[in-house]
Amino acid sequence: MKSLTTLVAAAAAVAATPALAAPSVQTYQLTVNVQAGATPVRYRTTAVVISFPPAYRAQIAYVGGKRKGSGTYNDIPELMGANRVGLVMNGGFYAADPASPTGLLMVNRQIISPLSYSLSATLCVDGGGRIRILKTAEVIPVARSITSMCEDGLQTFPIVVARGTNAIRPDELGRKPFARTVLGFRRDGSPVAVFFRNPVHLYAAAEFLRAAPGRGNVVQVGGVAGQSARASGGLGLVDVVNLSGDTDSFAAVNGRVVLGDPYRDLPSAIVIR
Amino acid sequence: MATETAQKPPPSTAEALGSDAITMGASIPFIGPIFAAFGRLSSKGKTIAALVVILLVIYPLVSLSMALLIISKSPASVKKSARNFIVSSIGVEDEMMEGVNKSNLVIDASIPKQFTLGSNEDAIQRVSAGQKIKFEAFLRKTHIDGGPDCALEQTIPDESIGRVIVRSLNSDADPWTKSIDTTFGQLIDVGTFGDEQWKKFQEATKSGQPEPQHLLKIKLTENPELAGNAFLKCNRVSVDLYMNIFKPNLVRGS
Repeated sequence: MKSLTTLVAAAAAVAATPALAAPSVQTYQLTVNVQAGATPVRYRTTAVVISFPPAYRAQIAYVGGKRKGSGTYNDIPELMGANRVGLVMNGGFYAADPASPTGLLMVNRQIISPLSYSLSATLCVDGGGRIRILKTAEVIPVARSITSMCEDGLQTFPIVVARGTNAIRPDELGRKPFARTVLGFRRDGSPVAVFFRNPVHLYAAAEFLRAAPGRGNVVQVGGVAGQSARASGGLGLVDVVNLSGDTDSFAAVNGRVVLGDPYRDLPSAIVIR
Repeated sequence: MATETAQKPPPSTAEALGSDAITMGASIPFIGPIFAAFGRLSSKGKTIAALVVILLVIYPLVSLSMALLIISKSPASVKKSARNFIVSSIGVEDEMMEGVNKSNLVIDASIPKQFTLGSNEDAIQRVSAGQKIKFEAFLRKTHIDGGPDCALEQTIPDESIGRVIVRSLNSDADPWTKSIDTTFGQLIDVGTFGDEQWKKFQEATKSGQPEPQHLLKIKLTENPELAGNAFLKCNRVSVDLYMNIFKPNLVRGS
C-alpha cells in the first residue's frame, strides 16, 4: 500500500512538471555593411542562436565557489554536471582576480553581490523560473525588497533591444566591436540566447536581433546608422540584454560544450531548460 | 771599415759571453739600457747600484715571504687579525661590501599574511635585525548578508580602512604603523620598514643588548572612524599583506 502511494505521488509530481522542450541550436551568417557617418563599417560574423519554447525554466547560478545556499557551485563543470539538460551559459560582468560579480547577483534570494547604480538592466527570475528584464533605475527605489521580488537576480548592461526597438546609440559603431553574448525574448516570452563568435557592434547586432525572421540563415545588415539601418532577416526579439562576452562567452547544451572555455573563472552563469 | 775590423784580435771567451749577455739584455725593452748603463759604471758605482737593488727589491720580497710563512704557521686568531688588517688596509673589504650590498637590494622572501578586517587577528614572523621589509597589501571585499540595507551597493569609504601595526616582541620600542588605503583588487604599497625603526627596536631591546633576530608581531586594526560604516556592515574586507623581506646589509666586522 505504501509503495502504491509512493508511485501515485511520483506520477502526480511528473504530471505537475511542465514538459520542457529541448533547445534548438542554429547558426546565422551575418554580413554587416552600415554607413556610420562618413565611415563605412564592414565585416562578417557568425551567430550561434539557442532558442527555447515559451515553457521554460531558468535559474541564475553562482559559480565562484560553493556556499551554504543552493544554486552555488565551485565552477562551470560542476554546474554542467548538475544540469545535463538545457543550456548552461555565461552570466554577467565581473571584476577579475578574484572573479567577483559586478552589480547584483542574487541566487535563491541570497544576495551574493549587491545592486549597483551603474548597470542599466536587471534580470529577475521569478518563482516560476521566468526571466524578466527590469530597468535598474526602476529597481533601485525598491532595492530593499529585491529578495521578495525575484528568486534570482543578475545585473548587466546595456539593454540592446527594448520593446522591439534598437536601444543602442548609432555612435557605438565608432567604438571597438567585441564578440558578444546576449539574452533576448520573443513576444511570447520564450528566451533566445545568442553568441556572436566574431566581434560585432551592438548597434548592428540589435538590428539583426529585432528584425522579423526571414528565410535562410544568411543575413545582411545594411543602411545608414540612425536612419535606414535594417537587417534582411532576424530573430524577432522584443527585449534583449547584453551579457559578459568576448573570452567569457560560454554555452553548453545538454551537457556538451558548444562554445567557450568551461574552466574559465566566471562568477555567474544562467541555466535555461 | 773592413780593414779596421780585420786588425782587431778575436775576443776572448769571457768577452764573448759578456757581450752576448749585453746583447741579449739589449733586445729586451728597458732592460737593455739598464744593463748598458750598469756596464758603464765604475766598480764603486756597480757596488752601490747592487746594494740599492738588494735593499729596495730583494729584501722586501724576502721579508714579505717570511711574514706570510710566519702567519701561515700561526694560530687561527693571529691569522684572522692579520687577514683583516691586510684586507682592510688595501680597501678590498669596502669594495666587496659595497658590491654585495648592491646585490642584496633584492627581495629575499615574500611572505603573505592574511587578515580579515575587524577580526583582531595577528601574525608572528621572525626576521634578522636590520632587514628592510616592504609591506604591500591586496584588499578584497565580499558581500555579506546584512539585511535589506545591503541589497544596494554601499559607497567605499574615502578614509583609510585600517592600520598595519608591527611591533617587536624582543623590544619595548613603539611599534611601526602605517595606514592602508581603501583600494580594492590591486596590489598597493603600504610602506617600508627600515633602518630607523630597527634602530629604535635595537635600542630598547628587553635584553638590553642588540638582538641578532627579532620576532615581529604584525596586526591589522580597523579604522575606528569607520565603526558602523554601511560599507563595512555589508562587506567583509580581507587583506593579503605581503612582507617583502630584503637581504640584510653587510656591516664591517660582522
